[in-house]
Amino acid sequence: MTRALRILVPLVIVVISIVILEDGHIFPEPVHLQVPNGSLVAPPANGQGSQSGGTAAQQPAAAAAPNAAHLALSVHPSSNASHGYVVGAEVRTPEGAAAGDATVSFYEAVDFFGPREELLGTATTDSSGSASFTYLPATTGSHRIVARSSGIAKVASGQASETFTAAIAAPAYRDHVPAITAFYNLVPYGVGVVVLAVWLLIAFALIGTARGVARGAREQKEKGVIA
Amino acid sequence: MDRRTRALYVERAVWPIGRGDRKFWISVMVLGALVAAGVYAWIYQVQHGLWVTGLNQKVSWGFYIINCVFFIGMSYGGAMTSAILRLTGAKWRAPLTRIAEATAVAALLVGAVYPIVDLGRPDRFLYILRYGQVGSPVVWDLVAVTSYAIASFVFLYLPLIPDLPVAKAALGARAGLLGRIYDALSLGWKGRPDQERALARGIGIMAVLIIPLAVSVHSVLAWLFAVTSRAEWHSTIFAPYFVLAAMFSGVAAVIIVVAALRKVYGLGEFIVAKHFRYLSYLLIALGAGYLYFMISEFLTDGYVFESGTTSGLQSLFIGQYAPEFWSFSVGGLLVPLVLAALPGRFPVARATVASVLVVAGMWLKRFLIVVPGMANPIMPWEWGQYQPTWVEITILVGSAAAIPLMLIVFFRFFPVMSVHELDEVEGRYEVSSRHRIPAYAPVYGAGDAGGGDD
Repeated sequence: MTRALRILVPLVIVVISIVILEDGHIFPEPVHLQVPNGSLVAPPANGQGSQSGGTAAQQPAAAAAPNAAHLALSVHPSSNASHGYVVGAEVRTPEGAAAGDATVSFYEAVDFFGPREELLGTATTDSSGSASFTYLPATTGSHRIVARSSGIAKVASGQASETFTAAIAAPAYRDHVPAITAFYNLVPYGVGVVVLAVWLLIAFALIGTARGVARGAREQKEKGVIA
Repeated sequence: MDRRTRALYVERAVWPIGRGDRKFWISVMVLGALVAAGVYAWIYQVQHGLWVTGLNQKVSWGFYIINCVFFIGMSYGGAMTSAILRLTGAKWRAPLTRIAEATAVAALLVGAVYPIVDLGRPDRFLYILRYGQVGSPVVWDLVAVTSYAIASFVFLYLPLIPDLPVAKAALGARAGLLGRIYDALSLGWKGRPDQERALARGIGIMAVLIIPLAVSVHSVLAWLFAVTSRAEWHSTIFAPYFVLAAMFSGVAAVIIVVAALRKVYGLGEFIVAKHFRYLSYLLIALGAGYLYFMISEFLTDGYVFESGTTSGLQSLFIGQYAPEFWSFSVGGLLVPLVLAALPGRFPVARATVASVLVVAGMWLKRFLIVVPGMANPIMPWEWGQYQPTWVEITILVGSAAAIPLMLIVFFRFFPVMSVHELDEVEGRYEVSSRHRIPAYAPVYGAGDAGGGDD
């Protein structure tokens, strides 16, 4: 019976292994993601996004309509240098009249997983058709600003862009570091020393015992030879 | 202990060695089949992904983390029992320490696998080594569990050294290759005083070291929960709470294993009611401590009733998880404590039944820590739901079966009770050099023994 079981047990293990491996692979086959056509395309932007500020990325706008507003964009340094630049937009109807109450959205063209527009903020035109937005870029150098006005009565939306070179940029972000951080940073080293001490103690217990026992055995053997 | 009783002790200790009777093979087959089923479920999970489990976006910790905490806790109890008995010089420890140490290693091996199972993609385990941050409790956990695992193996091995010649002698002429392995592992043990001293020093260091190591492992496991901002987990009491829970369930597990092996290997003459009574005392003390911690935690939270904890406490006491909570509190804590504390007949059966209830109850308690803690949303959303699938249940059954499988295989090669320990507590080494030679050990020259100065 015992002998039969000795044969049976490995046999069962082999059979189970074959069942497990029957489809020829243990690990999963590479998964190929099937992306439906168009599902990753961003919604068409028309410059009238619901955001009033922030960092939402937008796709470039569609071609302007025949009754599109005329939009002039200008960038000049703010009177307060630390505020950066004033991005001004002037919106006029196709006939040249000032277009008040139009919402102007300001974007910056960025390269973030491909060319995109980052929404910087929005402003509403006054009775003279002017709207402005104070912008402090994150970096110095060339920036391309795009402005889009919302459609108002009988006037479709319009857009304009302007490239300028920024000499002023926001100061680099610096996290506030609490004083205790310096102490916290030492903790891993302290713990590391304790862990090392523990490992050394384990090694000492094991190797020390092994050496002690083996030495005793050696001496015993030598004694035996002499005897 | 007279010579005849000692000879009987040695005979019972080595009885399973090399013995492959029908019961053994049937046990191996049944347990092996359960383990194979668990392995199959895991491979199925690796093939199909974690969606085949009940884990989801809201409850991303389920059975696997519960089992990790549970089995590592069980291991802790085994190591602690042995270490405490050694350090306190308990004279009744001889038949128990080997079983407790082996249980510790077996449970640890099972528990340590669970984080890998929980990962879903086992290959990503290497990411902890490649990208691990020292500030992450996951990395602390890796370091603590690894250190504890190495220490547990050493703690099991060192006391085995003097028993290996006994195991070899038990096999006699059949020893063959196994005999050579025993020789290599025993490092030429002859029972000389200098060898005794080296061994006593090594075991002493490990017995002292294993306690803080085990405490650190369970504290780190607790911090894995406590350093989050979840209301149920973010508690300063969590680390000692976990440590006590581990000791409580671990001692219960040792009682179950001792009772089972006593029955299977016929150790009733040496593992007697006294052992179970003493272990029951330990169980009662730990259970009472755990009850105190539990009341302290719920009282503190319940008195203030912060918005985050209110819904959690409500779900435990009168809500969705009330059946599990009251089953644990009454069936897994109060009843076992009463059962173990009551004087009277059947101490072995009472201790064993109480321990089974404690082990089941403590698994339930880990469930009540992990799942409601995850399901209770931090943001004002709906509660998450968790329903384990056959994959998680099969892996649990398979891993639970792995512990007795490892133990019976281990005790087929090594003495189930420590012979050397018996000689030590019986003072055989100190009485006379004549008695230094264990009955089954290879014979060496009488003039070699030296004085028993250890």
